[in-house]
Amino acid sequence: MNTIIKTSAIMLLTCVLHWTARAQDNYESAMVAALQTLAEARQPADFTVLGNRFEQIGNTATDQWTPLYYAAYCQLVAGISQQNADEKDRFFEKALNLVESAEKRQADNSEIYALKGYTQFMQMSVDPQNRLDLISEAEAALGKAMQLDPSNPRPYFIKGQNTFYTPEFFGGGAKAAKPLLEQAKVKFDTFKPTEKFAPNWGKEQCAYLLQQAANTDTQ
Amino acid sequence: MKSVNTVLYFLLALLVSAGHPCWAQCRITGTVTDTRGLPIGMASIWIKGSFDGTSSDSSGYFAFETALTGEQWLRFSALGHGSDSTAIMLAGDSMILELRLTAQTAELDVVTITVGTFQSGVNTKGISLSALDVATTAGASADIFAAYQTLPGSQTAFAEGGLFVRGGSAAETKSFFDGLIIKNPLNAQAPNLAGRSRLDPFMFKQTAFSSGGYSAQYGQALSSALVLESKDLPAKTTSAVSLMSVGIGLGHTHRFKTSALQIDGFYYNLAPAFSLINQQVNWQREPEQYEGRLQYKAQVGERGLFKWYSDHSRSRMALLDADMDNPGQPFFFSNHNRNTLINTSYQDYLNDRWKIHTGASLNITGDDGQQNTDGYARTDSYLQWRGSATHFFGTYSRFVVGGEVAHGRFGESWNDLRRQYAHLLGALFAEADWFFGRRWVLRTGIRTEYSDYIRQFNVAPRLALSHKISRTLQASLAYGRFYQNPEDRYWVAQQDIGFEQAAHYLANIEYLNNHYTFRIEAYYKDYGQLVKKTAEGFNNNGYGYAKGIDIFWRDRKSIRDGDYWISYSYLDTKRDFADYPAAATPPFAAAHSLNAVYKHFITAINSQVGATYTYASGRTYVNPNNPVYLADRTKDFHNLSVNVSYLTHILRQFTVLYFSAGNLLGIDNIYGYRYSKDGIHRRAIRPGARRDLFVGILLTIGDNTFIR
Repeated sequence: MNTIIKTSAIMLLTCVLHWTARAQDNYESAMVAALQTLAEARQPADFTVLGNRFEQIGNTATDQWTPLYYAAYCQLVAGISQQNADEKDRFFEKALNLVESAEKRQADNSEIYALKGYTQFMQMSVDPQNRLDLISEAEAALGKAMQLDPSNPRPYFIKGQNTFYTPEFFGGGAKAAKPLLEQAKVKFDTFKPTEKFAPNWGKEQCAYLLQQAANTDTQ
Repeated sequence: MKSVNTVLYFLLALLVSAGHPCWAQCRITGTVTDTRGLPIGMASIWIKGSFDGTSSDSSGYFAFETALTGEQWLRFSALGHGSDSTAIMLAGDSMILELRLTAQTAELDVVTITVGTFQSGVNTKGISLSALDVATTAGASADIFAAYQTLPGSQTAFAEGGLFVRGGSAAETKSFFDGLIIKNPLNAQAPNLAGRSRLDPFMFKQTAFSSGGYSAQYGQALSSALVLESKDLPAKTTSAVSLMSVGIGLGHTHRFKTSALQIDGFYYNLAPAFSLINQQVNWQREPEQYEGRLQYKAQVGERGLFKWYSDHSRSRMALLDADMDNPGQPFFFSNHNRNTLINTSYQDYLNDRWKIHTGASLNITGDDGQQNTDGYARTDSYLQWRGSATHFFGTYSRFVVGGEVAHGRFGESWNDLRRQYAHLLGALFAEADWFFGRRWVLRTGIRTEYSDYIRQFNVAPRLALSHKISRTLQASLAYGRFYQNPEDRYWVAQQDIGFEQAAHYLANIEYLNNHYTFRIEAYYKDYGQLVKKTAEGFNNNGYGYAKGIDIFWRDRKSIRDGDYWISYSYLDTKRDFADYPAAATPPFAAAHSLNAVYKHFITAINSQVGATYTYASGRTYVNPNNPVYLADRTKDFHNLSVNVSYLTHILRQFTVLYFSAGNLLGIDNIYGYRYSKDGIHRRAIRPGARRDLFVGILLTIGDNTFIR
C-alpha cells in the first residue's frame, strides 16, 4: 500500500512538474522553434507564416517585445518580395503596426527604432512621389536608434542599405552607402545582444552589400 | 500489483478529465475562406492565451495540435481580410472547423468619394498632384494654383490670378488651410497681370482640389474648394538656402523632442530678371517683396498636435499702362501691399472613435498706391474660428459635426473718400459617410450659414453616392447647393444684397490602378441670385449656367522613367451678372481647354526634364462696336513650357538646380482687348513678357535627402 501511495504520489508530482515546466518553457520553446524556422526561411510565404507565428507568440507573451519585433521583421521581408504595390502596402502597414505595438511594450529600444526606420523607408519606396516625407521620418527613426545604442550595428546597416538602393541623385548609391556599411561591419564584429532572443541579423547582408560596393568601385 | 494498476488507471482518468495536458492532444484542422467561399492562404489561427497556433496554406487549409481542453477562444485573421474569433470546446477529440473571414478588407478595396475631387497626399493614391508634382510641372513655377490649372475643370488664368473652375470666377474658389479660409491667397496683382499664389506647396502634406460638389464642411465658394492640410512635425533639423533669378530665401527648421520651430525669410526682386527679358510692361518699379515666416508645431499628449503658422510680407511695384481714352497719355499705377496670415490649429483624438479639431486664423491685407494722380487704399481683414468633432462608427463610416464664426472687415478709399463695413458670418455643418458594405457609400451633408450683415440664413444640402464596380472601376453621383457672400466690393457699397448661390449636379466614372488613372466627369451648374449691377444699384437678379465634360488621363507606367497626364475640359457657360447687359459667356471661360504635362527622369544626367503644353480655345471679350455683348473671341491660346531640375551635391549638401522657360516658342498670345470708350482705339492684353525664364538653386543643409 505504501508503495502504491508512493508511486502515485511520484507520478502525480511528475505530471504537475512537467505541466508547470511546460507552461514556463512554452514561450521559450515556441521562440526557439520559430527562430530556428526563421533561420531557414527563404520564400516570401515562409516569412508571412512566420510573421503570424511570432505574432501569436507575442499576443500571448504580453510582456515580451521580441516576438512582435520578429513578427514585424517577417512581414516586412514578406512585403519586400511582393510584386503588387497594394500588396506591398498591406504588408508594410502590418509591419509598422507590429513595430508600434513592440514600441509600446518597450520604449526607447534601439532595435525597434531601427526596424521602424527600415519599414518607413520601404513604405516610401512604394510611391516615392507622394511619400517623400517618409524619407525624413525613416532617417529620424534610424538616427534615434543610433543614439539609443551606438554599439547596435543594425541602424547603420539599414541606413547603409537604404542609401545603397537610393538613386545617386538623391544622395544614395554604393559610394555613399560604403562608409555606413563599413561602420556597421565593425559594429557587427563586436555586437553582443544583451537580452535573450534579441535580434542579431544583418551581418551577412552587410558583407554582401560591401562586396557589391567594392565591385562598383573597381568598375 | 493489480491494485497499483487500478490506482494508476484511476489517476489517469482523473487527470484526463481534469484537463491535464500530459496526455490529451487535440488536433484541430479546417479551412479559412472569405465570404465568397474562396480560400484564404496565410491566415493566422491560434488559441487565445496560448502558444498553440498555425497558419493556413494556399488552399486555406490548416492543422495544429493543442493540449488545451475546455472552452477556448480560437482567433483567426488574415492580411486584408480582418480578424474574427470563435469559441471552441476542446475535449480531447480532433475537430474540423470551417472558418470564414467576413471581408473587412484593406481600405484599398473600399469605395471612396472622389467625385469632383482631385486629391493628393501620403495616404492617397491615383488622381493627385504631390508637392513634388507642383514643383516640377513645367510652366507652373512651383505655384499651387498654376499647377492645379493643368487639371480638368480649371481654366488657365490669363490676366487675373486664381482658380477659375467650370465657368466660375476666381472669387468662386476658396482656399482652405487646415479648414480655415485664406481670404487673400494671391500676391498683389497689377492690372491685367496674373498674381502668384502665396502658398508654398511644400508646406502641405495633403491637398484636395474640388472642382464641384465639395463637402459640407466647407462653404462660401460657389464653384470650388482647394483644401490644404499642412504637414505634421518635421522629422529633422535642417537648413535651406535658395538662390533664384528673382530673389533669395533662407530657412531653418529646428526639431526639438516633441516640437519643431521653423523660420524662413525671403526677398524677391524681379528687376534683374526683367532686365534680361524684353518686357511688354513698362515697369517703373519692378515687383519687390520681403517675406518672413514663423511656424511652430508641437505634439500634445500622445496623439494631439498643435500648429502655428504665421507669415508677413510686404511688396511694392509701379508701372505705366496705356490710358485707352487718352492715347499717348500713360496711365500710372503703383501698389504697396502688406499681408499677414496667422493660422493655428489643434487636433486630438479623445479615443479611437472621436477626433476633435479646432483652429483660428487671421488674414489682414492692406493695399495702397496711386492710379495716375489719384490715391487708393484697401484694407481687408478676416478673422475666423472653427471647431469640429469627427466620430468614426461601423467599419468605415464617419460623422462630422462642427461650426464656424468669421468676422470680416473691409474698407477702401479713393483720395479722401472712404467707406468700410464689417460683417459676421456663423456656420454650422454636419456630414456623414454611410457605408453599405464595401462597395457603396453615401455622403449626406448639410450646412447652414447666417450673416448678421443681411440678417439672412441659408441652408445648403450636399449629397454624394459612390459605387465601386470592380477593384479598379468606380462610378459616382453628386449634388450640392452652395452659397457665398457677395464680393466685398459690392457689399461695401450696398448692404441689402443677399447670398449668391449655385447648385451642382455631377456624375463620373473613374478607372484607377497603381499606374493609370482615367476619369470622365459630366456636370451641370445652375447659378442663381448672382449680384447684378444696375443704374439703381445692386440686386440679386443675376443667373447663369455651366455645363461640360472633364476628362483626365495619367499614365506613370508606359514610358520608362516617364510620367504624363492629359486633361481636357469642355465648357459651355453663360451668365448674366455684374454689369452684363444680357446673359453671355464670360471672358474667363474657354470652351475647350487641354493640358498635356510630361515629366521624364534622365538618370545619365541626374535630371528631371518636364514639358507642359496648354491649349485654350479663344475667349470672349467686350467689343463696344459689336451690339452683341461679349460676342467676339480672341484667337486660340497655345503655350509650351519646359523645365529642368538637376540634382546634385554642392559642398556635400543636397542641391537642386532648377531652370524653367515659359512659352518657349514665343507664341504671341492675346488674352483679350481693351477698348476706348468710343470704341475707336483698342489694345491687346498680353502677358507681361513674351517668354519668361527662371533659374534657381536650392541647397538643403543637414539632410542629404531630397525635400526637407
